[in-house]
Amino acid sequence: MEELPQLQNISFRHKKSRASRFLSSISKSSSLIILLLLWEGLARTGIINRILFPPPSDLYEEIFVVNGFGFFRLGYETQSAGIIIISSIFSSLGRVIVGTCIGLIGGILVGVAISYSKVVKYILLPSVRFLASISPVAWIPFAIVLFGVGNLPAIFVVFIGIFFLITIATTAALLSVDQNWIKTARTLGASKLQTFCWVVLPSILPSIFLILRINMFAAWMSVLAAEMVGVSNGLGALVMIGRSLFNVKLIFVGMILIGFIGYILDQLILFMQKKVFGWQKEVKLDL
Amino acid sequence: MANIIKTILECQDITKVWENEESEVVAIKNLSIEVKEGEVLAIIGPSGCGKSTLLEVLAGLELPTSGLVQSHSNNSMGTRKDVTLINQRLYLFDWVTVRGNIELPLRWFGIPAKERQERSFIMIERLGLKGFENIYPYQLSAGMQHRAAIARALILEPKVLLMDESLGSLDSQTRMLMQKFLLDVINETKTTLVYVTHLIDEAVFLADRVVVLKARPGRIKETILIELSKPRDRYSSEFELLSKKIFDLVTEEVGSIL
Repeated sequence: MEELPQLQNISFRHKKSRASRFLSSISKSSSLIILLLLWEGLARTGIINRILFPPPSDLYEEIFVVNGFGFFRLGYETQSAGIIIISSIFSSLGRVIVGTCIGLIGGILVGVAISYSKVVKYILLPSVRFLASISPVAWIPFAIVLFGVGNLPAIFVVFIGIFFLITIATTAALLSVDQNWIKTARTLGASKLQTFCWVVLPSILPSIFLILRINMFAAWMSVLAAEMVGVSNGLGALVMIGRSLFNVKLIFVGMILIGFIGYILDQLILFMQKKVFGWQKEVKLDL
Repeated sequence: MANIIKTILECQDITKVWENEESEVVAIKNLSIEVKEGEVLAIIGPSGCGKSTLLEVLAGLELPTSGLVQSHSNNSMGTRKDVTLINQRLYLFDWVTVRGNIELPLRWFGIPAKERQERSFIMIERLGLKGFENIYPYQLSAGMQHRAAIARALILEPKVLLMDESLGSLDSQTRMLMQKFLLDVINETKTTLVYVTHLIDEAVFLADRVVVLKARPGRIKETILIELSKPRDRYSSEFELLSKKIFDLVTEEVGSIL
């Protein structure tokens, strides 16, 4: 058989050189660096109150030096206690991850059930729409009454924040699946279940993941709120302890960690998105 | 001669009506077509004459409102599919690699991994996709995407391949090369081809018979036998004569709806 000439080269992604990547990461973080320097300078010169706005160098000492890495003093420079950063981070992260996974899987399952069964749709969809509009934070009092103080209310709040939106996103995505995908699968011999698993589901997953990524921030915020109110450990609780004992350093350390972990969480989902959905023509996920 | 060769796929007196709340559209009316084993049948007609609908009915993806569709292939092997359709926009599965696309129909038929690999390897070689099997469809050039779609459609060894203007989106040079390539492939695999198109020279180049459809609702206006030997020369006088004849038939129909 005759060979056709190659009419178009395959496009591979352009890779940046190491130096230009380094420069771009410097320029990306420059706004943060300026903020830190300004803060440090203003606090040291006494223009702003050093107790209310402890400068970055104090926070660094608090985290790494005074009582050893990860141990804080509780209260205002009077007593020390073994509240460990790592355990706070892991308990908060764990709650978010468990709640998100349950919410994601549950949301997809219910979304699929709503799309494929009229009965389920009429029974569930109006309620889901209504409940989705209640902020996850508003569920916290109820969650504590229901589950008591502990891990469960925090996980529940994250679940609420993810579940309803994913359910709606799944329903919407399934509604807009191009029927020609399904016809193509059928003409190639796929059964209904095979069509769903191999064709319909992969085609809607990217849009569901986008919704998930946007709502991850909300989930992260709501778990902290839950920890401030009803749980005795985690980053939210850490910040609240700082407030009760007027240890502003602890509050700031907690806040910085919250921001940092939130950022890491987002990057993690972005990484997963790129890994799992590398087949998409345009992966424009980087904000 | 055509009468001795057996009919492999036929539809008798089919009518297809698309209905929704407000309106109903008669896409095809009382149409009968016989597809002979091994032939290339081109279907040509003005836009909106129900060509795509006809193919979907022939592929068994849509039931006709009335009439009968019958496939006469002796399907002895369980892994075979009688009729496969390639959509105009191909619909390669973006989320699996080229090889994955070609192997998916086999997987759906429950063929074990080892045999899947062997069969897709042969198909990849045959369609000149070697070196491209492990990349994703979007990374392929348009011509290569068509080859992948053809490979995927032929992997189950269908008796009849239906194509819905599939080559229409290609630039004219690639299209001419792909037409030739397509003829080679279906000759080699002994597949019957039903090809819907709006391009007259494509129909004359590929087909043994050209069915010209009337404007909506689709009915047969005329069937033209093309007995030129293949590969055909687009610039020969016979080729141009036939093209002109079909052009006039189609123009009449287009004129009737404009």
